[in-house]
Amino acid sequence: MLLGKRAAIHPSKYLNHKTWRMTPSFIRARQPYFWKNFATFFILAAIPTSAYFYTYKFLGKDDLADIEIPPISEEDLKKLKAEYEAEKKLEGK
Amino acid sequence: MAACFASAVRFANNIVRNNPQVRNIASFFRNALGLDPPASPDDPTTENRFHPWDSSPSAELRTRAATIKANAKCPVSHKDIQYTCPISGIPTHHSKEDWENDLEYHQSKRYELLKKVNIYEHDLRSGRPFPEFEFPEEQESDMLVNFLNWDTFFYTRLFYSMDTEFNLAAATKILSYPITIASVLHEYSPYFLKPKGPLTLEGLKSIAALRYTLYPDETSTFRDRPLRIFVLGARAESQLPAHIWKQLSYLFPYVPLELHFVGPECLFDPEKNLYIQSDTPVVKRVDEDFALVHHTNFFHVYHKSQDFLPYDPYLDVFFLFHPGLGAPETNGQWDETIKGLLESKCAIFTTGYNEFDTNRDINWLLSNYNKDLDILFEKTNNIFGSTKWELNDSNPHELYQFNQQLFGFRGKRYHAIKK
Repeated sequence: MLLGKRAAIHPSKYLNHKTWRMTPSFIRARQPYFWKNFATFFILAAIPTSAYFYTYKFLGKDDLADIEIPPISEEDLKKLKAEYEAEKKLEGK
Repeated sequence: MAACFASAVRFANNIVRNNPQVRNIASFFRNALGLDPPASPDDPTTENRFHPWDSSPSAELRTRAATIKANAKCPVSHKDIQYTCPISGIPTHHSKEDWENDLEYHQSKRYELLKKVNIYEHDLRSGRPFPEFEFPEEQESDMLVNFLNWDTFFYTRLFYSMDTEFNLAAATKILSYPITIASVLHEYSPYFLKPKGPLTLEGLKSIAALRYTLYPDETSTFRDRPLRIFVLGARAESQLPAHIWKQLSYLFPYVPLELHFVGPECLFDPEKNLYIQSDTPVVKRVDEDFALVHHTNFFHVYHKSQDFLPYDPYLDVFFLFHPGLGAPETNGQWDETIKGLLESKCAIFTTGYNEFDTNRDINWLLSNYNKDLDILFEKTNNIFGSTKWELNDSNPHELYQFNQQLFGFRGKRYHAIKK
């Protein structure tokens, strides 16, 4: 709707005040611009949409192999393995 | 099955109509679903505005039907007119056989336009409220006016929403005069330079001079008088109320404008029902930026007595609404006026009722003044012409619209040439 002091106080004359839909005259006035506006909307919407999908695809390729695992000694590893086995047995019962 | 369904609908409609509580519930659901409310029986439609003119509820239209029957001739048998076309409701032919035999009438579908004449005239006399005549005032400076067509103009100026052809016919007929002037002079004019539009290079020179005055900036030189818009041979347009002409001034804010009506029929006294003749110009000042001035004699009289001097292409422009320059009725009357107009070197714009009328005017101009004039504006359909169809009472087959065609010319200017 047209912005401005007047529009903020009075509802637009170009809306049906019962159904709040555009009047036929409003639709006719916008008709010459409809397809061009639609194309502009499509182009503008395509920019964030393509950025989103590009990011999604790019991040999906990462297997996180480059993240370093902190060093651990052989003894600690045996201990952890044993704990893990024990837990599994308990669950198995 | 269909009949059964139809009777069920009729039964339901009866309940809704007769029971106020049910009616409220029905309208609540209709609103909740966003459906259109049922049309009021007073709203104009083609059906409820159609009456044959000779049995019309309006006495005025019955008289017009009688005038057609008395004066017009049937195009087929060239006898007097007695038969009323059942499609358009307007007396058009001598008899039913003539009507059936008039192939041109049926092929050109002229009855559709005649029917529009009929329903628009009945709508104006229907006594319904006319909210389309509530006009907006000042345009907010951050809202541009779009001159692409009537719809965009009405919307950007925030007129009443002209939804039906009846609204448009009523409003455009009177607004056509001021808005036609504005659409030519305005910086966002819909008429472009050739080949994209009808404006010639000479036309652009004239219009640029006028726009220099209409859109002043800090480099513009001081103007010592308002821009004068002359309306020559003014008839109906001079009787329009001042607030309708003020619509022109709203489109050029802060620019002082004067509208000069010139012609013996430009000042009408409705109480005495006669045209007033006055030796001095009659001025009606609307506000400090806008005034209407009536000069009740022919232009060439004032031109010879040098009343309008000095002419300035930056500050003067002429508009001739349906002058009928080449029409047989005005034979020779325009001769001296056109000479004066061409001497002034100011832009002149004319309109015509239909293509035939305008072609006749242009042919007359070119055959008499070809050497002395430059075309500013090729003949084109006026975007801001009236959408209401009219018919000629002495020949109902001649249909026209006010300000349908637009054309512009100017006296040739001779520049100094370096040899």
